[in-house]
Amino acid sequence: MKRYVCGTIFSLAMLVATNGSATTLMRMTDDELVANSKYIVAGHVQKIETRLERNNAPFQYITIKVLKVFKQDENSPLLQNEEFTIRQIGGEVLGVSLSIDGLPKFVENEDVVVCLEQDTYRGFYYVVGSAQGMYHVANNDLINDTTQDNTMFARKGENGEITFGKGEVRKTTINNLQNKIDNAINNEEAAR
Amino acid sequence: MNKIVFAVSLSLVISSNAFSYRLNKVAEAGARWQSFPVAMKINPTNSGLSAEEIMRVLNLSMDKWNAGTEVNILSGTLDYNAQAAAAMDVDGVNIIAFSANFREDSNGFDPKSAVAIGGQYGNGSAMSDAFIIFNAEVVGWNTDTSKSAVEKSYSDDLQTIMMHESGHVLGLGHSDLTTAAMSASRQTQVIRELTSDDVTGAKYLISTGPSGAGAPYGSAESGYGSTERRGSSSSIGGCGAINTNGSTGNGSTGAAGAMMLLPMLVLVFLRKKLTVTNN
Repeated sequence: MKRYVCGTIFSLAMLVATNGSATTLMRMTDDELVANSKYIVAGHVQKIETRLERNNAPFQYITIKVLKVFKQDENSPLLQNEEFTIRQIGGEVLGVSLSIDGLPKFVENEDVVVCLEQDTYRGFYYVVGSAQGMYHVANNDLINDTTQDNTMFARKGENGEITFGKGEVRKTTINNLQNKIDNAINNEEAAR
Repeated sequence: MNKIVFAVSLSLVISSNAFSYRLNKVAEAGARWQSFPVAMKINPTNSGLSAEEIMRVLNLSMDKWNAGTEVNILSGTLDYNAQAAAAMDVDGVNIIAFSANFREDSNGFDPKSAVAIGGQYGNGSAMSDAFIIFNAEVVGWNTDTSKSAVEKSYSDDLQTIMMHESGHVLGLGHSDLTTAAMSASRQTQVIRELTSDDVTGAKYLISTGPSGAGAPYGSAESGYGSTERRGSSSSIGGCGAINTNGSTGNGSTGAAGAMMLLPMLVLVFLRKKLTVTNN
């Protein structure tokens, strides 16, 4: 029995994997995030399931229940109380652990606001702007924190020049976000 | 005597704080490449450049690390079978690829905002499965900086980016030194030479690996008190860079923190001893 337990622990220890990644993202402002997102919703992270897929890489399936819809694709709407799933590489399962810089880090039972696009091939959703497109909700404040990993941000200037910087903590409010979304929708309609 | 000891110790503290390099999560957890060179399979498909140009620039970038460290640590071979879609698989193959389907190949990144992802896996003490995937949907490459930018929404100098990403493959994180190839806040568009900070970081990784001969560049473990660990596994979540002060922002030294700590301890010890002696 002791030998079996030791063997199991050893096998699991051998499986434990970390990942050192470094990601370069184009910095997107809140306005750019709004303009580039098909959906923007407030939701509750119901559960996060991690599965080992293709060649032992862990993938996260993040199920979110919609609390409020700010921006919508009328052709394929997300409804209040509906659940949808984000799929992205990373997570921890069967001793294999993978943390990818630049992807949003979800926590179960947390309220978030996410900017979304749908992967029409699989039907899953992904976060627009990657780590930049997910806000933690704290009362009426929305907080996006990209300082916690090894992501480098590139910003394009007015003359096309690129500058680089580290992550930052960005704060806004639900009201501000709603105003930006309203403006973006008005601009889109005016452009049609 | 007291003043001399203080001055000597202070100069040691200042000189030992010259390096700003950091290790990435895998290296910080103790993993190292078990042998060199780290052999990368390079697929130039979708890059917008010829295979010859890609190989010329990528090999030039890797040679900078080889020359700087005086060890043949990186090598690249042309391989059209090295697919971007398989780059992040845990299969023992190290891949550099240019993706025309970045959302799918990067397994969840927004193709409109991501430029490149790169890194490697670590399993206990060993590194494996390095990958660099460039987003060919939005990124165009300059290899001759005298020419105007290519017609993509984002353009960059391929050698600068490759030198930076190669450092991540070796196990380095971002440096606080803005002139370093490993800087996340570089002030110029083009950095085609390594700084001594980059080279020292790479040498540290070599010297603390199985083919190294000890740790002449400081002890990685001794200086780190703030590594965040998740759950019961040895994976490290959150902060990708090493901080000696627990913060994740600017200003703290990384691996160099270990080197800074020793003279400070000497200073404190000597001052205490002198105080006792004087009494």
